[in-house]
Amino acid sequence: MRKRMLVLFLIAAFVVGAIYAGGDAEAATAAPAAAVKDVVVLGSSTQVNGDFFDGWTNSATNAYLKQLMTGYETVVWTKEGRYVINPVAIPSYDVVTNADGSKTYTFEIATNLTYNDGSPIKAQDYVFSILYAASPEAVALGANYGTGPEYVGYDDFHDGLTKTFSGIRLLGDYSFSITIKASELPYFFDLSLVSVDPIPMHVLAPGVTITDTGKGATLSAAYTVDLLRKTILDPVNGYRYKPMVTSGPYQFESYNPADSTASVVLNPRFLGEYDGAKGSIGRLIIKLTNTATQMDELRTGQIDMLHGISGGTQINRGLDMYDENIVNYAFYPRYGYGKIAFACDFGPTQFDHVRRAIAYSLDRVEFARQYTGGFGILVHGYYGASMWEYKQNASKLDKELNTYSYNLQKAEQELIDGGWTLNKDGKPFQKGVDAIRHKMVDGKLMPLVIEWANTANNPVSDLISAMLVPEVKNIGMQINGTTVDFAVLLNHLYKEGIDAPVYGMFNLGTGFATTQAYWYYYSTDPEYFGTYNTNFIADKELEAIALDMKKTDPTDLAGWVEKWIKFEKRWNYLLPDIPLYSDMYHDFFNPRIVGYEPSSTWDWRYAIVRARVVK
Amino acid sequence: MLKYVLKRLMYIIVVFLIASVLIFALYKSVPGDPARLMLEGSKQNMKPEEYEARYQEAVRKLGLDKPLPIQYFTWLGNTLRGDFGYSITYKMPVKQMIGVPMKNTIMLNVWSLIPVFAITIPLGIATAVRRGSRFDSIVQVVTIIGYSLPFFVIALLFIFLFAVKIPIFPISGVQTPGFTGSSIQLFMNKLYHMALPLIVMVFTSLGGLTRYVRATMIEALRMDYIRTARSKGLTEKVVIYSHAFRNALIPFITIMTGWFISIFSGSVVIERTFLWNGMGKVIIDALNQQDFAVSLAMVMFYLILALVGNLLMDLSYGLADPRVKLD
Repeated sequence: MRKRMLVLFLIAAFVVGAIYAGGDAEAATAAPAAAVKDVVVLGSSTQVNGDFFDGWTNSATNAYLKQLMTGYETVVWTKEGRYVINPVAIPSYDVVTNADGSKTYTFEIATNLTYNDGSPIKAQDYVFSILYAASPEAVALGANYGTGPEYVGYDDFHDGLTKTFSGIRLLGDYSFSITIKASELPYFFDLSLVSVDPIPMHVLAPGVTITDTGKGATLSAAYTVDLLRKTILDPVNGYRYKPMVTSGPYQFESYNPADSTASVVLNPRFLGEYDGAKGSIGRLIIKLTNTATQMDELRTGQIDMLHGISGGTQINRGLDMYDENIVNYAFYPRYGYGKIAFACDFGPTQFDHVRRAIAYSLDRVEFARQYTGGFGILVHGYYGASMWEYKQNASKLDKELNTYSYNLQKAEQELIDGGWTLNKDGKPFQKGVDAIRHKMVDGKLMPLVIEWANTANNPVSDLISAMLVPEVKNIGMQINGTTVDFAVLLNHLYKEGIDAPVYGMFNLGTGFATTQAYWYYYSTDPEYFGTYNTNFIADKELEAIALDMKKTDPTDLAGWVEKWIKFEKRWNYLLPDIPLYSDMYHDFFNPRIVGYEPSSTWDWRYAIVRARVVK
Repeated sequence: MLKYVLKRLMYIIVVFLIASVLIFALYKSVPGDPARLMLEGSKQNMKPEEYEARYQEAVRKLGLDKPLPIQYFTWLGNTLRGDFGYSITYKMPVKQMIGVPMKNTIMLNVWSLIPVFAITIPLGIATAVRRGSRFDSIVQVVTIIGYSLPFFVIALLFIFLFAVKIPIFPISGVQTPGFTGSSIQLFMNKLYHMALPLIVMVFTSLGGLTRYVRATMIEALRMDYIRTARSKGLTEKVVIYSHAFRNALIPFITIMTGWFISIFSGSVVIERTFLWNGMGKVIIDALNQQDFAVSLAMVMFYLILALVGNLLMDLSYGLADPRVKLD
């Protein structure tokens, strides 16, 4: 009897297993493509999820895949870190500044563009892309789109007050225009505002038409939330999960939620990127890896590439494999940095003298070396070493920016210059006798005690504890560290739900956007405090430079650079953050992959389209 | 018996409601702002006014704008109707995103049960019967190693041995990336990927269970009725399997209940090491991302499983041992 039960149990388990293996109902798979010879598997520690359409996910790996499936944008990002009109999609365009100060871009699109299914790409697909993202129906779906508020007529259209988007015009089968609000201009990155890619209207909104009677583009009544819910959110065939009609160099092949693996294959109908690149690797797969074993997966050939590797241990393992001719590698600095961030609106850290004194008290060179294992660099301002502005002016900036080299005498002098010259009794501070400096602020003595919020299991916090906290004691300063959950740290940094701010110092990381909005991040308008200006710094001079940068004519690169350097100098003097390290990221890849040239601003999604596989 | 079951079911409802209040209160006291996390990555692409509007929309969508008691009753009502809320990480209903990892976890655990029980029960009985022999000593040493070494050490060691040095198994994943083939081939491919995590799970489970079975069997073999059975001239096989093992079952049933629950809960270490996309990984990720809808749903699910599991355990005692009366 028992034997029978055991046999029955084994059979049941086998049957369940068979059902499980065969029944991948959730796996989204396209029709099998032609036999693919070249396959490259990218290992990523960021999990791919099932979203392949803008509006829902911010996962870096999903963004890669979406980008690979997107093409023929009006404006593209170049390897040199600039925005340019895409000559493949837009053979001609016109820019007019209107009497009311608004600016209209009129695009003529190429007549030979098609989606991967062969259907033609027309102007209405570009217009639909804008109208859909700005529509209240998209909001009702739960999608998040950041584009559109800069266009004339956005507010009324977005709020559902009108069905016509006055700033968007459908001028013909192959022509459309976008008008930017006068209040947004002049704007140095204005080209980025008119970067639009086509989305297949016939797939997302079948039966819907766009008309233009001269007052703007209007969606027909058939455009409803219910329609979008069917075409976009359907769990099996919705465009969000299975975008079968796309315009980029690669097309969707499959996504397997069981192991978070996704693949794309070459789109044979793709005409090329702005530089003619069409992609040549037959299939690209992104597979989840974990840090502990990812190098072993690369060594054993289970994956072909790893990108964005940081930290001495991992990089050295990769370099060992390079020495054994198992892999090749490329490296580039991180587009951001790890930092000490200050609250510049209360307590001792509201005074720039104190912030500079802290910078002088820390040996940042040694700090960066220890943290990155020698695979990192130092920056001295609000920039990444791969920004074109920095690369053009590296020698000048390195000479003119204060590097805050470790120097306790200078640190002490900053405090004296800043008025931190009293002891707890209000008498002159005596070194060796008094422990903590004080300053008279609004008639009260303020002790030079800084509350620092840090997170657990964080080597940066450990290094600050070891390399900075003991040093500042020598200049009459005290830093009290408190370890909190990262969410709590953010609450205090943003001052959300905080009645009385406590912490004046934090350690965390930051990254730059391709169109870095300096004017938001250093705005003195309290509306921007917390969400953008996380330092709560209200320096009118810094803000004025940033606003002046925003207003630079897009063609005036020299003018932009001049203001950018001015901004960096002011920032370097005020020091709302202390940049601690900028990792040197390494990409390791199988030697059969050639022509792969990534950089901080030219990441995997761009570089892989220009790479190829050799035998 | 029926009266007992009904009474226990009533207890389950009361315990469930009390626990739901406590768990909900605990989650609400965790610092952080799920609405902010939902938009964190989009901020750089939005103007401040747009961000604020989206933030308020997220607060409304997550129901965070309502008083706590209203939030609780809304959540409880929705949960009882099978609506477990909206995952801020996956940007979809929890019910929709939970299916795949749950299936993966159940499969891995069901498959591991077969070798674990097939090995540990006979091994535990054999070592109890041959207590003090060389065989018993060897098994004791081997099982204590499996029992005392942490999961992740064994997992990494096995990966190093059987996937890197002697590359007979894949290092991670559920199937070969980009695999194409028939259903049978796919099934075999998945079994191949399941092999190493399964071996590690079995190896790490052997120690505890074998020693447990051994201890309960030794206890049972010391009883007077075993001496009586032997003196009646029954064969040693009948004495061990019909008399001793049946009496050793009661403590074993307690262990079995834990295993029953673990079928659905997954192993955080195994799933994260072998990148087996299961419930253990989902729950840890949900906690890290403050995806409370997911973690709350799963905690409540495990609570119900534990309560039902305990009821089944008590009922099983009665089946295994006629002396146990359930009133």
